Amino acid sequence: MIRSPTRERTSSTWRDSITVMVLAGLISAGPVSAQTLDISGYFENTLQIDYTAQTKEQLLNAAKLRLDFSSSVSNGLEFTGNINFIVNVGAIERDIRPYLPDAAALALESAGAATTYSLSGSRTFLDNAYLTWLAGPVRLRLGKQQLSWGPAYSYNPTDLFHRKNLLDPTYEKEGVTAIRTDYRWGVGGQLSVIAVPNEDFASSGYAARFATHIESIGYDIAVTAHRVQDSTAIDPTTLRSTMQRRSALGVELSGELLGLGAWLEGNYNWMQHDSDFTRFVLGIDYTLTDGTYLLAEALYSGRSQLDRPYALGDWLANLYFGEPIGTGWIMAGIRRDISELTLASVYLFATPDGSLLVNPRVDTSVAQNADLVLFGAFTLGREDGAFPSGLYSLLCRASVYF
Amino acid sequence: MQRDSRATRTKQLIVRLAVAGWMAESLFTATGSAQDEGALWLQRIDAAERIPYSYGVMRQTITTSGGSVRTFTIRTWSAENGDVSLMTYVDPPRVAGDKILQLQGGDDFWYYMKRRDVTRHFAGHNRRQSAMGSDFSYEDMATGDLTEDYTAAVLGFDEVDGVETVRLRCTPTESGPSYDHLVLWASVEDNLTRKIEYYDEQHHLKTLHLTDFHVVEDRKVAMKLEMVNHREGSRTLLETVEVTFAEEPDPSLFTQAALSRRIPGD
Repeated sequence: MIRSPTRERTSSTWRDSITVMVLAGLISAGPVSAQTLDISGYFENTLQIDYTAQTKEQLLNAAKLRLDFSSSVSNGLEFTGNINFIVNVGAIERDIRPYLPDAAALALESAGAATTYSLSGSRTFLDNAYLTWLAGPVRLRLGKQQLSWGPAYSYNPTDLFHRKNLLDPTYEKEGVTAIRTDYRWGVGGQLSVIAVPNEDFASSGYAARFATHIESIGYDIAVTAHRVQDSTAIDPTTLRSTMQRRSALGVELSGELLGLGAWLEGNYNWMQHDSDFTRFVLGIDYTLTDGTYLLAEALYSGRSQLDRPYALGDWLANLYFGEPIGTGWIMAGIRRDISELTLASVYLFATPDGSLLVNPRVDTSVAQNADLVLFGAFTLGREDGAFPSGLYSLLCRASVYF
Repeated sequence: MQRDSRATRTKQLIVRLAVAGWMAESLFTATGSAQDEGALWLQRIDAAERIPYSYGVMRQTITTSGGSVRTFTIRTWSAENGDVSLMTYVDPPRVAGDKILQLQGGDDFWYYMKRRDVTRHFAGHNRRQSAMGSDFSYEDMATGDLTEDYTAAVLGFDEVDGVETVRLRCTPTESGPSYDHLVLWASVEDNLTRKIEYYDEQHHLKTLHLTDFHVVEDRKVAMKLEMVNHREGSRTLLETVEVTFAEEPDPSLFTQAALSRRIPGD
């Protein structure tokens, strides 16, 4: 599988200044908090082997050091953050054509567009850094932070700030610089209001979520609203990312249905330039008495072209921004302990065009503070399907925590 | 002669029916009384084990069938007679800062992963999943009332670790845990649980041993809980390092908002 670059983000003096304010807050706490500043983290080495018939094997080794900091600055005021240092060695420049159908690859070449992308050899960045102020049920958070929403496993239609890697959807995601306020009540009651500053108010992102738990039926329900700057579509003429305003109204629902866990997460999106669309995920899960966990999800996405051959722009949006291609997929998964310290799982993604992605995974604890994860994927399907045959990927990730 | 014979058969039939009826009534009465008695024992156990509120530090040691050991240190708070609780992992660094919130007597769990700043809700069938790779599932950790989660019948009286105990067969109610049944031994003297066996329809899955009883602040509690997993061959020991029942924890700890914030002493 190709690993697409992170979503393009517009540089923002607002966002930079919030992060600087957060760091300044921590530094100004100085000698008082120096004794209470907790430092932890992990080192992680990921070896990735990708194979296609055209490229043969391509190796990439990523060494990552994550340093976590947290401190109680004063009563009700906390700082949390982490810095990531990542060094990529190996095939950091990739040809994207093996991941496209022949017709799309030819169209890309004839348009004179770039056929490769590059990962940086090394990257040091502030992954999360935020101040949290707590006053009873109210929480105010300033800085680069996690804004993940939605109960779905493989894809979250109501999360417009982060993207998931289909092969590793539970892996940590880079924070987003934002101002966020939450008010919580009872069991599951929550009102969240988020602002993601940009160059001016008009281009800034805004989101709100109202959630509650309906005890009589045992369901968590939430309504979400977004107005953000979207850069996840590709202009079919220029083959470049399109910046446009995106508004969305969504719903999240999770509870039990006939003894099964059940959830619905979806939204309707109004786009400034592109066609409006609906996107939702329906899921069910069940845990057998021996602890085996079964999961199924169906994603419907009305954004890209629904039938083959998919447009080149849809392919590029898929590769670069993780946007679903076609109408979506049906996913089935099983997860169980194969020994006391080893968890095995397999997830199958099947699309209406008949193509299939198989994603096996083994997680094991090799020592008190060391994990080993082996996961990957292979595809089976038509050459112009969402998951065409002949793509293989294997990742081996070793982590030690301190 | 024929009439006598018919009369004799009729008498025999009446006697048989009467005996059968008496036996059925006796059996019904015995079963009913075992269940009534079982319910009384559950009430006694609930009363003896009910802790209004507490704070403690636990050491959890998981030993696999192959002899590998994983040790965790956990701080715990409980209130409302155990209906709500919060656990926060202090050590090892891999999970430090992760938290488990239990509300509504264990009907609902939330698991907060610090590094990802993500919270997962465990309810219904999800409570069968292992808690942090241990031999305890989320529903095993639930501290709701036995009388709400089970019906019980007295099976007999045994000695466990030198203590006279009542042996109860506990069958989950509709809203109770997922096991087919439990066999529970509780001390006749202090009504505290000494041992629990967990069963599915066919197998004896796990056994929980409660030992090392100490009196802390006038309350007798088991300082060691060991869950032996017969299917995996592994075991998880929960040892109480420190416990107090003196001060009621801040109610704001038992909220979802508390999951993502630092707790004093962390």
